[in-house]
Order: sequence, then structure tokens, then C-alpha cells
Amino acid sequence: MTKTTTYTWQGKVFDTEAKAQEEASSSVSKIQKDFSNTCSVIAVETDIKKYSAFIISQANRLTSHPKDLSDDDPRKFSFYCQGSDNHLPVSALKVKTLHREEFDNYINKKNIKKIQKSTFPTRLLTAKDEDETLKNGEEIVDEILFCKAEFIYG
Amino acid sequence: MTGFGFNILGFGSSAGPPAVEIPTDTLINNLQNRSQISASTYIGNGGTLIIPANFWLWSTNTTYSTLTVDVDGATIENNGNIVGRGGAAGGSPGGNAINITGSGVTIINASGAYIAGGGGGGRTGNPNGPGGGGAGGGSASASSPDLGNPSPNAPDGNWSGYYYSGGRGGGAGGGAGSTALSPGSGAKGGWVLPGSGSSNAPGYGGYPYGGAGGSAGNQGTQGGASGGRYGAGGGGGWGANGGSNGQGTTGGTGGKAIEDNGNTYTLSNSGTIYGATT
Repeated sequence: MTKTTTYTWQGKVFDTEAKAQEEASSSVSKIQKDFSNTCSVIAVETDIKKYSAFIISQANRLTSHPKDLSDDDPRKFSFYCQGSDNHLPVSALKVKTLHREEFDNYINKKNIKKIQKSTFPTRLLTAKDEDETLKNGEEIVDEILFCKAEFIYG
Repeated sequence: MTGFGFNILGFGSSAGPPAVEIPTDTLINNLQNRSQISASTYIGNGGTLIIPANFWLWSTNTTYSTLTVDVDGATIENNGNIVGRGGAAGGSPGGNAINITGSGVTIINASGAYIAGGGGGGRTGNPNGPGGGGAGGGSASASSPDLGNPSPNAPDGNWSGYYYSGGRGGGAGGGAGSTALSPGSGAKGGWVLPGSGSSNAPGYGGYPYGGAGGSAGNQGTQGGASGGRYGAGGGGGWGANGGSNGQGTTGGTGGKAIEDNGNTYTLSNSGTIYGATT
């Protein structure tokens, strides 16, 4: 039985581990940008005419990185990242904490730190219909390798 | 006495138009509900529209937002559930819950109430495994809502004696993906708030697993990859993206809780919101 070994990182398949590691290392900045795009931080104003209400305007969307907010910034914010709760209102200090936590969650959930090594019968690459399932004596072995790329917050 | 009566009348006229409670359509699963509406059907400028407790405001299609607030100065007082439609399996985006096109709008989401975008559909795997539907009934074939109920299990089955895995165990949030040989199917999304996620759809015969459906606010998980094949992604929970397939192709985006279209608005939230609010 002829076998094939593949290395998969973020859905991209390579024939060597080195190529998978290189792809991960070159994708660090893109992944940080992708994360930022999942988040919305907007400075809000209290609506003094209504109880516990806040005025939300996209004109007040934060354009700088949340880590650069001053801890004692007096403004209140609306904070949301894909997969997080909506937070309204929160302080600048809380925004910084939440944003960092969501970045760590994002990295963990996307399995970015893992490369999957799969060894399987080569015939599966072109098999169709019922031949796609394993026959007696065939096996697929999957291993998880550590991705060396560093995804640093900020 | 005349003065007293005059004062009362004066107070009433200065308070603006009366609040209107949205009427129910035919009950579904004994729940009051109505599908997508425009606020202008019920109120004029400066009016207040009330969604009662346990009332479901939903949409038949991801193309349509569930509630379009097309009245200037309107106040929407939500005590129930305003939800967008879930994206269909295969990676379709979820629908928005509220679409603001008027100016000076106020959204009040009361304690115990929900505003939730539809979940995105999970991405299709290879070969032929459909993703899970997003929370909010996401499914290519589902047209009527099963309000108050979780995502049903998609069937397991076999084909010419070879087992495939259907999208089993769809949760109350997004449905699980599938790694099925044709004609497998992923689970459609559920209609429960907040809703739990499902477990992975198991892989058989060397097939990778299908991703789990996401719980409310959480993305469906990515399908597995093994032996040159890759599983489908799970459906997204309320307001969250569908899961990627095992190859990394992303699922459908989650619908917004509130699309403001660039309009400034006021939000008072004592309840729960799933999905973006701008």
C-alpha cells in the first residue's frame, strides 16, 4: 500500500513540515489584521434624556489600536468582537483587557498553533464514491505538530 | 375640576403618539410571533413600538432584516426576541435582526429580552458534506420556523453498505456540519435563545468529522481534515460566523443584531445582544 503524508495548517496542505511552518510564519500580520476586523470599539455618549442609554455613532469608532488607550481615558465605549458578548458601556481600561482576552481566544479557537500531519493511503487522493472509505488493513494516522510561529498581541 | 381635566389633556398631548404593541400572527408552537416588519406599518414619526415578552419577531429569509426601523425618532421597546434568519448550510451569511434607516432612533432592549443576528452557515466539506445551518433555522430547505426548539439531528445513514456521517447532534445554536457522502445533510440551525452548541458530527470509514454548531454568539467549529478529505464546518450560533471546513474555507458571516447604516442611534441594553450593533 502506497502512502502519502501531508502537513495541513489553516486548511492549506503542504508536502513538508518546513513549508507549513514557513506559511504560518508569513501569515502572522494577516491574522492580526483579521482579528482586528472582527472587533468594533466605539466611544459612546450618555443620552441624558433616557435612563441608562448611550448614543452610538460610527463617527466615533476607534481607529487606533485599543492597547494604545490611556488607562485613565474618561470616555465610555461600546465593545464587541465576533464571539464575545456586547459590552456597553465599558471603560478604556476594560476595553484594553477585553481586547487582549479576545485576541488570545481568537488564536486558540482557530487552531493556529497546530499543524496536522496526516499519513494515509495514496489511492484516497483520487478515489470516488464507495472507494473513498478505508478497506481492511488500511489506516489514516493523524498527528498534531507544534506551529513555531509567534502570534504576538498588538 | 376643569383646570384638572385640562392639565391631564395637556400632559397627554405633549407626550407624543401612544405606544403601539405589535400584534401576533398565527401562533407557532403556542408562541406569539410575526415575521419581518417595518416599523412604519405600526407607528409614525416619534412613535413607540413595543415587542411583548416571549414574542418572537423573525424573518423568512436572510435577505430581509427582521425589523426595519424606517421612522424618524422611533423608539423600539423590546421585551421579547428579535432574531435574524440563520444562513443556509454551505456558507451563506446570516440575516440581520434590526435595520435602522430612520434618524434619531432609540432601541431599548429590556431585561430578559434578546436581539440576535442569524448565525452564519457552515462551509461545505469535501466530498459532499454540507455544513451546519446557522442559528435561526439556517437550512437550504427550511422555510418555516420551529420557534422555541433546538436544532434537530440530521440523519445518519449508509450508502451502498458504506457508512457516512450525517450532521448529527445539531444544537440549539448552530447545526453541526457533515462529512457525508451524497446525499448527506447537515443539521439546520435551532430556534432557541440563548441556545447551546452541538457536538461534532462523527466521521466514519476514515472520514474526518464535521464541525460542531456554535452556541449563541460563538462561531461554529472547523471541520476536521484527514486523508485528503475535509469535513464541513458547523453552523454559527446567534450572531456568529459559520465554521470553516477542514480545508480552511470560511463559513458564512453572522448577521448583525443591529445594522445602523451609518445612522446615529441610542441603545439602552439590559437584556442580551448577539452580533454586531453597528
